[in-house]
Amino acid sequence: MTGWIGVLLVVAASGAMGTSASLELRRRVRDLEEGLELSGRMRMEVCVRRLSLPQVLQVLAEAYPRRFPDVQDTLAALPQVPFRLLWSAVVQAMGLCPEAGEPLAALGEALSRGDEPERAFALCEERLRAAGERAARLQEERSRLYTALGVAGGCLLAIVLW
Amino acid sequence: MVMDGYEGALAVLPERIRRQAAQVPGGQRDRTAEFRLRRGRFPALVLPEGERRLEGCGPVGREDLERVLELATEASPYATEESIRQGFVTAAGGVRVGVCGQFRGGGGGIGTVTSVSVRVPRQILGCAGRWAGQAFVSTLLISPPGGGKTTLLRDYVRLLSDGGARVALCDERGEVAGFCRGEAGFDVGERTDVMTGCPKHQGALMLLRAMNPEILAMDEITAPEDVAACAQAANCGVRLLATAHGDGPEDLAARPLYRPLLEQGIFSRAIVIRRQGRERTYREAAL
Repeated sequence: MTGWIGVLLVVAASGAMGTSASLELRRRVRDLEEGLELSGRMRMEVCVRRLSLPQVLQVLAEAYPRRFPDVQDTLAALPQVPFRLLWSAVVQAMGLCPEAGEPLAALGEALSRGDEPERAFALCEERLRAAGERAARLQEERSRLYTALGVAGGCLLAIVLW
Repeated sequence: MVMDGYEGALAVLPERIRRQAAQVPGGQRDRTAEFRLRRGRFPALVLPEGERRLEGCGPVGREDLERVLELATEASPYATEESIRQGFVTAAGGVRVGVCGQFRGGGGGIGTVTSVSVRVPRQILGCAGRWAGQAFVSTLLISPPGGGKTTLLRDYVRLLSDGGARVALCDERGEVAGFCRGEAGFDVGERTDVMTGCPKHQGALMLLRAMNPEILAMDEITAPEDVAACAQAANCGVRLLATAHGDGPEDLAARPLYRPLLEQGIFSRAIVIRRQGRERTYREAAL
């Protein structure tokens, strides 16, 4: 009986690892979609409403409080710390996957440097979209595979250990 | 009573320069009109007697100049690109930051910044007090650059407005009212309507159409369009208060830009400001 419970646990743990890898793929797709949504929102605030980046941050903090928890502290540090460093910290604190975080970090830096906003947004969105397509393809190809591999690996391990 | 914008000016300086500038003794601080930062040179204070090096700072680097722009524009140069194209940015509190450097072609503004000037804005409450009780006639405030025209204009507008007149202030660079995000940094009076951020001649006509002013005030007549806007306002029966760079009415009469203003009798009076050391003297002249 104990042996069977052990087999079950090994298979379940291994299957969970496979499922977790598959969920990670799904999370990456979701992060990239959210990155695109954020970029779109920023584009509107910057290009249409002509808000300054600190004002944009406040707008984003109101719209996405979970992603931007410490904006007031960040803005208070602006006289002491260059904006690109603050922005980069904000993006990191958002907890997005690197493929989504890097274009957003680069976007803030480009805008604060004086790059043409439309061009900066286009570049950011192009990077996010391309990464999103890659991630979606990967998810489709490998999502079930990872779960199945996890379960199969668990079974194999259980047989070996038996 | 002087309301000092020194702290506001410090806020746009890079940290290392700001630290040293904050330690400038009170006497010198009160007389500082500008900070000058030139790439590869030592930062300087502009005092009435001339420029003086700001002690304790190394030469200004590229990062320092970029940081000034970042602080002045709140890291959003795109939001002020129109004024950057004209060579200045107005930061919070009416601090004017003049920008100089390598120009980008095609109306792209300044590409590489090589020097900046950070003006210390001041409001001297009561400096126009001697004219407050008099009936107002269209007045031109004249002085060389840095003579205190904007300070006098600001206080005159405040006094006229608080005295009951409906004043429209066309503040293209946001320097007179010190506007930042819709809030005036300086007191320009109870009955003053401020149009900021648009060219003076356009702003003046919009104010004429929309706000029905009794007095139209504007800083620095510098273009034929400004002169035409003044003429149009005068023809509508609006009295004018404006400033011009110059040594006096005779100097203006010799310059083609200002000659029509004087010939058409748009202004009835000039107040000429002279600066001698820390003191300013005012001379009135009929036009």
